[in-house]
Amino acid sequence: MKGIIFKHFESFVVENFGDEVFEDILDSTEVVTDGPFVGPGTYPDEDLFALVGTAIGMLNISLADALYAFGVYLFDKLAAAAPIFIESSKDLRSFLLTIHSVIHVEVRKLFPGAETPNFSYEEPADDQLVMHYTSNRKLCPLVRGLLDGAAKSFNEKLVCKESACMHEGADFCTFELTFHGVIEQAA
Amino acid sequence: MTTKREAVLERRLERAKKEVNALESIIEDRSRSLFMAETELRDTIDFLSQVLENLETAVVVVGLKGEIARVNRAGLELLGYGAPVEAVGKPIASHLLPGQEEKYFSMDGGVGEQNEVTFVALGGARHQTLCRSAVLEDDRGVTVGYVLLASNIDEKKQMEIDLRHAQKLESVGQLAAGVAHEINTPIQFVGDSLVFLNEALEDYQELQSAYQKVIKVAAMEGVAAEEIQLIKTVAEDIDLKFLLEEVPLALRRAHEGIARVATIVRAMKEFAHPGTTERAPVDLNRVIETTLTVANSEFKYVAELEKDLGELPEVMCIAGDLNQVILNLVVNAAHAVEERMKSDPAPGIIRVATRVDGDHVVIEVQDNGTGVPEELKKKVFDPFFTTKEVGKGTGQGLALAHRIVVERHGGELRLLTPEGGGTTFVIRLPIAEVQAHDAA
Ligand SMILES: Nc1ncnc2c1ncn2[C@@H]1O[C@H](COP(=O)(O)OP(=O)(O)O)[C@@H](O)[C@H]1O
Ligand SMILES: [Mg+2]
Repeated sequence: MKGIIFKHFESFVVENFGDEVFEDILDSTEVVTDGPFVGPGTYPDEDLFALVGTAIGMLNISLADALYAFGVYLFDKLAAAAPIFIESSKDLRSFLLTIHSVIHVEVRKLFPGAETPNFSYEEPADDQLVMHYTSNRKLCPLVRGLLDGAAKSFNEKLVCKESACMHEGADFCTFELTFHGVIEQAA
Repeated sequence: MTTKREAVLERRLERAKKEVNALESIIEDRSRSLFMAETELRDTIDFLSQVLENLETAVVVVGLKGEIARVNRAGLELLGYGAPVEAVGKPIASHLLPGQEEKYFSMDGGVGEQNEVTFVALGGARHQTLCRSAVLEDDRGVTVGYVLLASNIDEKKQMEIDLRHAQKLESVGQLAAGVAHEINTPIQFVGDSLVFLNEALEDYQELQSAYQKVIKVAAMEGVAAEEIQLIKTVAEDIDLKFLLEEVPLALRRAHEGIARVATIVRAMKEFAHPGTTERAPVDLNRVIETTLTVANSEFKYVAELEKDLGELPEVMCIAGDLNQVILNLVVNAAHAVEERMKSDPAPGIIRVATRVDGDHVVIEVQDNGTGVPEELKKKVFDPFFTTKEVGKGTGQGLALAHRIVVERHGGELRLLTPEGGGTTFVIRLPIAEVQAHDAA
């Protein structure tokens, strides 16, 4: 897992629960990594999972909720770091379609050794999109959070239904997305 | 409480410092590997460009609009440019015969196949190549152009042509030898018969004058008046006086004619079957006479032939080769005269001269034809260069002549423009060669 994700996890905790909570989490977690996490580094997935595990125990929330909330938060941060990908897509749907063939390709260029997940797509209708997600990290709640974070960025209403899940024995997680267009701003 | 807060902040500061260190070492690592990668890349580029530059195959990269984008040394040579900057941006189509770009290099055309393609260099020289093209893609698989890999096969083509030429000459030679053999016997007995007829006629003329005397005497004596009258009538009817004058002349003309035929047949035989493909001492004047006899019909309707053959030592050479050279020069001269006469009716003259100049034998073939424009003087020796219409010119004559004279005989072949226009081709062959070979 890229260090940048660790860093975003840290700021997520710090922003929402305070830096003392984060220090407590660090203190109570056994990690493999000796030394600090920095953005360009690559660290064992278990370290992140261990930190997250400690966090949900301490904060008394479910893993899925935690990953989801982190996903929403993470999208904002990633988008701020590379606004070009959002700016060059005309809407949420076309942005999501670029994730696999453009964004993850760029990620691998920038971070050699990054293990990006696999997405494949189906386009049953103009306002629908089916995304199949596979990754041995099985972070589908994170994906859901990211999707909602993306919808927020584009100011679009998105309905997301996870119709199959690796945690329930499927080969991949399937997200059935329906796009309801831009949310009208109350003037 | 404050102390706990301080402790937390301290820990965070401590970690932040470590992070800075970690980041610094990552940056160092990255810079180092970037430097290494760059060095490696530069080495690879150096290596590849050296390989590319030394490749005998022309490599031409062409952009999507058909413009030349990159080209290696062999490519510059093939297309006739001095430096890449001259070539870059020029349309590749300007170096191809019409229709070839679409045929061989369009994206949906023959890309990937190997074809024989003619390239036209800047200035018009044509080169035969074996050419393969391939599509170039960027790292996303988008077509950005194509690359042509062309191997020059001029030399191979030349050899093919030479071989075909040699085979043709060989079969013409065999045919000529056969025909000469077949014709020789009848010529001989026609000739013999003519000699015999001539002698017989002389004998008969003697007899005839004896008869005349008898007739005269008989007439004076008044004997056989009727018979004598009959003889006179017949003699008048057949115009005996005319016959007696003309028949010997006719016989002489027939004799001369048959002697000419015999000469031509012999020249044919010599020209086509010059005896050997090894060098041997050759009488160049005789070679010239032979060739002029054979080529007579090529020029006799357009030009007067002037011969000025000086005394020459024998020169070591391949007679058959020199036959070819003289023939090509004379035929070119005839064509040039013919062409010039379309606009200027002055009579054509082809002058063939030989002389010794120091340690060289010089052969000159001069005409008062169109002449060769200054800018073409170098090009005329290029293989495939011709200004003549298809069927008349192959652009091979002077290239072959040049190869024979310069490469095979260590001589010189030069083109001069004589005063008053036209063209002179000057062949210089070293005489020293003879002595060297004689001594050996
Ligand atoms: N005597 C000449 N006078 C003018 N031009 C000549 C003469 N000889 C050769 N050339 C030029 O050189 C060209 C090449 O000659 P050559 O190699 O014999 O090929 P070809 O006769 O088949 O054209 C000719 O097409 C012609 O333009
Ligand atoms: Mg010629």
